[in-house]
Amino acid sequence: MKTIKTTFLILAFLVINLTAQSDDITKEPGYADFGDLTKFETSTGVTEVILDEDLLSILAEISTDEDPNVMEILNGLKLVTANVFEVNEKNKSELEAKVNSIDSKLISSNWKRIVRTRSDEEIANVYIKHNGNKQIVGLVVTSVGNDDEAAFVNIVGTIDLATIGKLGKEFNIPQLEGVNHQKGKSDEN
Amino acid sequence: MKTKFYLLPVFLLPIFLNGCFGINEEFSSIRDVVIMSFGNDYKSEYQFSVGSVGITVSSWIVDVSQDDELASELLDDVSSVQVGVYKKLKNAASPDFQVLTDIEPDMLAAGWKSIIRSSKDDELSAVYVRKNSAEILDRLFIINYDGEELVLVEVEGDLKEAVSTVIREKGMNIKI
Repeated sequence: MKTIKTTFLILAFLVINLTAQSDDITKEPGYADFGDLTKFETSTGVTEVILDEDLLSILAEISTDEDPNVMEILNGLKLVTANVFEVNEKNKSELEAKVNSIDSKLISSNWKRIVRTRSDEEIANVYIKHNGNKQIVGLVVTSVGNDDEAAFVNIVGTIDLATIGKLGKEFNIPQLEGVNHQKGKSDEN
Repeated sequence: MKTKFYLLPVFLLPIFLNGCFGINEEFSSIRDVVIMSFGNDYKSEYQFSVGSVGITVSSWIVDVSQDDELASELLDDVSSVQVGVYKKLKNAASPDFQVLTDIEPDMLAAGWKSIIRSSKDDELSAVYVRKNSAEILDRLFIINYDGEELVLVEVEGDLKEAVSTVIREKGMNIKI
């Protein structure tokens, strides 16, 4: 009887522990911690979007009629976050420093940079994270535009690179729309 | 006898428009927190709630008057709406994102999770969602402030259908 009780308690503990782990999105391999972005939250020109699994599944249902592929993509996602800040002379260098520090952090955590753009007008990076099965389980976009906006985007969940452009179109992230093409180029080099 | 007959609709009207009264205690407590953070300097312009029967009556009116299927479908799925409009009394101030950060702990404590917070084009907006005890998303709370007027709206009902209908009809456009 004591053995049954102990086994039951261990099982209960494991179930609770596993549930707690699966609920914690920050433990997902595709989750990227951008650190403290609150210092960029000035009075105006700030947008924050957080769509969790429940909301994404609602959006997936909506997409059924228009494009079944989009429904499939959205159903594989667990979280979409976006922090967008207006760029001005005061915060531009700090935002660029943030993009660079995130770059170092992601590269050292086995994220793969698939797009890197450096021009007079814009700095933009796109990263992906693979799991053990070579599936893409996370995506990050960081960008700072001159006199425009800086964006920090993290998409957590199973992502197919072939359909990543559709995700860009769906969430209006132009940097993603040409990713597959550019990834092909970087693989050739 | 004839007078009594004329008075009958007057007595029946509140029954048909049930819920079309003031806001509830929960809404007013969130209102207090929000108004306090926004400067505690507002005059209430309108505060009202519409219950299920009131919404049904409204949907009939929409059906008849506008032939707008979208509005009618939305009203079908919503069980109650509470609205508060408050006018800034003195010194209209530019919206500050920090206010939304300040109220975040109170909103979280009341079970509201923010999905969109924005301070753009002289307008401050935030959208919060809340699940019921069965873990179904059934409430939406919207805050909008343009420097002069603060608008608070709480919608309760089958939001899944409401969101689906809006996006199906108007198209999804999450600007990032």
